[in-house]
Amino acid sequence: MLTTIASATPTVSVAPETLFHIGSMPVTNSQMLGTLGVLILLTIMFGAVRAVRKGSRSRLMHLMLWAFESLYDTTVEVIGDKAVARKVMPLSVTLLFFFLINNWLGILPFVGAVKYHGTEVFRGAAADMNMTFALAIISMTTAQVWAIRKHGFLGNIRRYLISPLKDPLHSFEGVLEIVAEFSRTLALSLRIFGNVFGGEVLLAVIAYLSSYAASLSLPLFYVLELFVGAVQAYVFFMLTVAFISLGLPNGEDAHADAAADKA
Amino acid sequence: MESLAFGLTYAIAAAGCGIGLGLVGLGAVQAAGRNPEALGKIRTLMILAMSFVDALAIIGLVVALIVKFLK
Repeated sequence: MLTTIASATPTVSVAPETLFHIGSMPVTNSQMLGTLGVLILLTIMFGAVRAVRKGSRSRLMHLMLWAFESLYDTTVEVIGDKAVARKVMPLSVTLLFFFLINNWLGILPFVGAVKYHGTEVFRGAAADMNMTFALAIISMTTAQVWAIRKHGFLGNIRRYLISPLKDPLHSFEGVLEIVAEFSRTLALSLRIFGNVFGGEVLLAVIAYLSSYAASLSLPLFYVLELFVGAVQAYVFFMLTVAFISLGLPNGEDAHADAAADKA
Repeated sequence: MESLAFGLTYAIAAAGCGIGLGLVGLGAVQAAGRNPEALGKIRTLMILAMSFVDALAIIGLVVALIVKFLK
């Protein structure tokens, strides 16, 4: 059945398609939308910075301030160390806004409809596994860098490699932890890729199934996709912060203390 | 056979995630029943946990699509 859908509506292609080459570097349709998203994001953020410096208190500024404040509070709550949280926040919040803008751009109607020589000019940036995997690697590397900075180089290795003679159980756990670091990277990238790509397929399938009633049924699913895009961007932010906090010393103790305080 | 594999790849993932989502909802509703004033926090945590469970079903769907369309 899906083959008929693929012929009737936007084709289901797992990999992004190449539009043109700059030198020997291929430029894909996902990169086009990603670049557009970055430009929009830069415009919004520089506008916000200018407005804040001027002391503007418009509704949009209140929204931005509220977003940044609540994200900062969340980061501090998870990491538990204000100095570290202030340094981690730029990366994690940038990731959140990048994914938010790109997920919302990716479900606009012009994506997939504008074509150039038969290939779509735009495609959701997170619907390209390369992009999400690269960002997952960045956030996991940052987590390792923070662990090395806090534990020292050997101390970080000692988190994973524990002598089996001293403590057999923990040495086995350490090996599992090495595997877990890689599986976390893969799961982090697959999660957002799957949601964005699956969302595109879902919209195509719904448009096909409801054929003449598509104008009635699609808006509901567009609202769902807006929600999913925002939640997945937040999840990426949250997981980046959580993985960084796992590598910090006494991260778990601080959590236990906070839980004990609440109880 | 291939269509069956395509269907099962999603169906098995979705079955497990259905159970998981049910447990998340159960936990959230019970927590809200015990502690109604914390409803806002519980809702945020519930949506977060649901998106974790959801992702597995969607990864199942993507794997099924990849197997079907990338050969």
